[in-house]
Amino acid sequence: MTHSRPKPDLSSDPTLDRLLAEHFNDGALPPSSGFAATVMEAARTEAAMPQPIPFPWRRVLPGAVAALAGLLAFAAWVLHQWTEALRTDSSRLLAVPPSSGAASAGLAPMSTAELTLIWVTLAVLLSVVAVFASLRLASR
Amino acid sequence: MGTTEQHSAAAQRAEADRRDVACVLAGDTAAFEGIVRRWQAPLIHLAYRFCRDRGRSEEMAQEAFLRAFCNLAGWRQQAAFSTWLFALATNLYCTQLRQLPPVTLPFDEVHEPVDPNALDAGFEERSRRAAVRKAVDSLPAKYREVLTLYYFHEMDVPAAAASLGLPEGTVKVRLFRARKLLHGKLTPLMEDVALPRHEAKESL
Repeated sequence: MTHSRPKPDLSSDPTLDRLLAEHFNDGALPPSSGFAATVMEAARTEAAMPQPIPFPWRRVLPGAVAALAGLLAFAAWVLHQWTEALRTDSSRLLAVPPSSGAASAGLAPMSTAELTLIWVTLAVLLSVVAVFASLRLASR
Repeated sequence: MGTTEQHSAAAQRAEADRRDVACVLAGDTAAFEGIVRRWQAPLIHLAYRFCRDRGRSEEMAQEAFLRAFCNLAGWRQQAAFSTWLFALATNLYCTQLRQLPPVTLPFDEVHEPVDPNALDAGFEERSRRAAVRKAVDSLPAKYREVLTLYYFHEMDVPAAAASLGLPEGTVKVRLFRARKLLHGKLTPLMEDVALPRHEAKESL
């Protein structure tokens, strides 16, 4: 490599520059005789390899968008139900006398358990759908 | 070789590169051989400067050529093909060498004193080279890489910056710091080198 550009003003110490230039320029290596042939063989092998299969975005995208929309809708519904349940619980707590606190306190765990059950069911369903979808895509 | 001839040769190489790349992209794999033959020596030499091992430098250069072959479509032709190729190779070499354990030498052990009375000039030369090599090897990788590319491109900062994919300002700062570190490590050696041999003997 030869460049004819002027040297930048970095060589504040010519002796150091000389030592480093000597160090970095020593041992010029001629390529071994078979180097180009080896590289070309590797390039031909690379060219002969089949192109990697592109990810099937066209098939996956509609399903993925539908699943995401469904998940978001479900999350919005659960959030709505949860806020409704909390509002109902707090109004009941305010309405009932303190002696019946245990009975009213039992309502909150019930609604939480229901929500947890719904989440678990949805997660299982999603897992099953994902497994079947991937199996079907892989078998094509 | 004069400056005009150098420019002419560089222009011919650039044109040949452009033609070969177009052929390879059109499906003619054999056209890649022209690129390999034109750039094998510089790429092996650059790899050797990084790893200081002949066998390994050919392996690294081969890997760089293969990567270039697979990514030829990525050359946008805004810069010279050689700039793109050196940037790709430098990136690969730096990545590969950073995976190796670094050389950890205490700075005190870097300088091997040169005996001014030694009659064997070859020995003196060898010990000086060994001292410089140890000092360079003990630098942090980012400084060593900048120095390697700076001297590979014959002290051309823009070319070194293009190969490293760094702004010129960053390269200049790293060069300055690397040189400062080396200056500290090699001061006794530089004093010996700066004085001609007979003057050094007379001063004793």
